[in-house]
Amino acid sequence: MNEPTRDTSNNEQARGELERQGCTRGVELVAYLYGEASEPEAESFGRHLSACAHCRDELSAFGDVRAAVGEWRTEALSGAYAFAPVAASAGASEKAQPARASRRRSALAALRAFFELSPLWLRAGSVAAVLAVCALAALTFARAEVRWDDEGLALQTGGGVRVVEKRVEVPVRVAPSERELETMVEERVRLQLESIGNRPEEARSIDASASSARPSHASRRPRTIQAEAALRETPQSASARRATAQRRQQLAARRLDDRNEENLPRLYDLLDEVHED
Amino acid sequence: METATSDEQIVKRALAGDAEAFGELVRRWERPIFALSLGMLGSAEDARDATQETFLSAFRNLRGFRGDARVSSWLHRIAVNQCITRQRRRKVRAETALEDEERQEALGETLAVPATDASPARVAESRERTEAVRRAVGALPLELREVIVMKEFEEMTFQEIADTLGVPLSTVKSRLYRALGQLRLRLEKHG
Repeated sequence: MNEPTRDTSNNEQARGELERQGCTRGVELVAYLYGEASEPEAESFGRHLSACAHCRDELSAFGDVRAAVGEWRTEALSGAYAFAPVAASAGASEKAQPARASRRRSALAALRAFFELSPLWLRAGSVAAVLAVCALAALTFARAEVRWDDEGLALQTGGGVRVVEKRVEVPVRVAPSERELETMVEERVRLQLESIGNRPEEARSIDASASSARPSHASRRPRTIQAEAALRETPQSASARRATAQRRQQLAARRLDDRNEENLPRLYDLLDEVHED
Repeated sequence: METATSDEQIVKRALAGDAEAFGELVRRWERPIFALSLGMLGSAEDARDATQETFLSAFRNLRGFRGDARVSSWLHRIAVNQCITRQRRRKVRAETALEDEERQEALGETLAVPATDASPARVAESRERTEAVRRAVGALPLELREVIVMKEFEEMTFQEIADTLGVPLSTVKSRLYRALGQLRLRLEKHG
């Protein structure tokens, strides 16, 4: 394994250290320390020790080193060997994987181990892939646009993906405002007044021909007009008065609790009767 | 190691197709190889991995075992090479806080001794001392570390170490002397 020249240099180096320290019997000291010196060698070195303070000091110090290393060895093996796995089983094939240590690693440690064991190109590729994914995600979100338009909620991303939440029209009955109510009432009144203005003749003819016909709204005319009409009363008007009286009796005979709205007396009819009186 | 069945006979049986033979070899040498790896690497976790890889490598190269060396020397040499490989790999990676933490954790596992009646202060002092030893051994040059570990952890003889490493006996002694000298300096500096 090692070339002879290197061994020679090692020996020379060790001897050099010993010479600098004042004694050249270090190799014998090691054999004596580990109990591997032959009996003559041990006797010889024992005699040397009594005369060499340097070797005595070194022998004592090396003994302490051995004790410290031994303590570490004892503690390390007694604590760790219980976890040592059986490396291979009797029937292990060449494809068999070694049993993994039961000790759990953190995710970070596992990731670090992956990077340590991976070749350089794989590490670079992994880093590049992660950076590319991050950049794509950042670009996508940077170009994202959220808006609310006629079509509904729309999400426009950099990749052109559009998610639309359709707008749902919900009919809402909104009560008219006070102003609108006034306008409606005015319009209704105006139409009513117009109809009143257009119907007097018709109403008169109806009243004259059929007593069951709807009464006209001519009664809304001023009372002076009605007085004038009374002065100019003709046989036809007398007949009309009789028809009106007959109709009043019919109105009075109607039941107020009649559920048919058509059969109920109208307010205008009653007013007509009052005015005609 | 004197056993009823020699390691060489076990290897022959394994080569002849005996499925149980290699398992027997593993059981016989697993602990010494683990101890060697632990001394070389200083971490129980690394030592376990190195032990596994050692036996896997031995199994793969079983047919390449020529029988001109002892099986134990052959296994130890594979283990030392595995440790050197792992050591180099570990040197490549940068020292980080996480790594230190992991090492501390591994060390804690390594030094996990059964509960004793020692006081916490003594336990802490003992841990500090063994940690200093571990660091001192780990800081030794490889050629010195392997001989001190083989001697102190494996209690191999000078001759066995020389056979395993393929170096003269005198080289083993001189390396041991230098290793002890450097450890002494480092530990005295630590106090």
